[in-house]
Amino acid sequence: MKKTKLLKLISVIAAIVIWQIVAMKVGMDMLLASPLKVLVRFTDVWKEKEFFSTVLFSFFRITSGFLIAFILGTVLGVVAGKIHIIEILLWPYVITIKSVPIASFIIMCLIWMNYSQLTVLISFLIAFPMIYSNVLQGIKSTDNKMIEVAKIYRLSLRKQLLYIYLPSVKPFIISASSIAVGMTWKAGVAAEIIGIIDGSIGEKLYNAKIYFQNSDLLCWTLVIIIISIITEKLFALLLKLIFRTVERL
Amino acid sequence: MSNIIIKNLSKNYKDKKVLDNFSAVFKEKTFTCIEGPSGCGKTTLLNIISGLIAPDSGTIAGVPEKTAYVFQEDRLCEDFTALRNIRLVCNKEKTDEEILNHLKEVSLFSEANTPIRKLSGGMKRRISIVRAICYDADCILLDEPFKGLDEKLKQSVMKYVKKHTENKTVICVTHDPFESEYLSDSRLIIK
Repeated sequence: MKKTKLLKLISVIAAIVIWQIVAMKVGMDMLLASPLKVLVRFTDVWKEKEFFSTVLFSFFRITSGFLIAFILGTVLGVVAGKIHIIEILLWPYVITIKSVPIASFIIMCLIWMNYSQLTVLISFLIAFPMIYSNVLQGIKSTDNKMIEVAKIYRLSLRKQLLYIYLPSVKPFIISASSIAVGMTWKAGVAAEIIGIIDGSIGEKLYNAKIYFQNSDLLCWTLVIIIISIITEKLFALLLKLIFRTVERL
Repeated sequence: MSNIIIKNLSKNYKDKKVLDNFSAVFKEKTFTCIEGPSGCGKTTLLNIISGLIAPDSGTIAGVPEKTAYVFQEDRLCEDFTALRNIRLVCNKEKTDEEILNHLKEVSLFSEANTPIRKLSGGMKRRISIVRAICYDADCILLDEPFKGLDEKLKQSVMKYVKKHTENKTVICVTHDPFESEYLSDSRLIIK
């Protein structure tokens, strides 16, 4: 385990060294800023007055979209897993959200709605099918023999969900939400860039692009990666706590 | 409670006839053991009585609403403790202390708070039996309940089952004539 971690660290250092060499070869910051320049810019950026408000602006909207998708996806996934007709009724919506390119949704939303709500909706649209499909699959993969036990011993719906379905759905929810958090950040920021939403991380990236500030672009990208990882870890921790509490009920 | 009356029951799986025009009466508050070769339809019969599967034809009457079932497999919630698995099927009046006394009777008192996945096959078997007993059902269906238990343990668990199934209708599938002889008030042989 320690050896793997050490090897990973070495490979990250090697990648940064390669990046530094390539940046030095290119020799133009506006095309590719070196890791050192990005790091220097990062130390400046986070001290800027609007840094935290920008991060919070995007964080609040992207996380809201994800949480709405998580709650709705879980509830509908459970219901559809238990009632087949609901799964059939939801199928056209889920398949449409899955297949329509996210850029099309962003443009449609820009026409129809308030720009400030765009990020929430796009984050929701990215996360919802992932959560829903995984919960549905988890419910369907529940051991039929345990469902028979529930039937014989006439377990209440609450007990069935807690003792029979939750152990089966749990790994699906954990893996789906881990992927969905990262994806909502990617799609949410993309929506902010296309919509040029004031005060968002996306706007910072857009400005970096039009003013050829490659170090700013990479610096904000680094910020997105860090926040995305923190959000993912925090949500995994929250899920663990929720499962532990629910299992004690 | 009343007798369980089965009339002209038939069940096929694809082209295979498992039960053909089967009729029987299981008297109330009687321990009946069903014996017969593998594949003769013993488990299918229990599944029909429990309502898990429907027969192709025939009727079944008198099955009490509250029926417990010890399946051939243990069918326990692996992530939860032995105590929680049993508590799951019990009503609120049943105290933890009562359940622990049952576990004590089958020598599993110290495993009460151990997750099922950490227990041996024999321990799981006993827990599934205790679960059925603690359910306080009027009728108990047992499908090879002592499978996998060593002789000494089997004796004590059989004693436990006999003690707690008095005044209950019990239908037990077994291959062991000794089990039948010790437990049953009546025996049914399916050929």
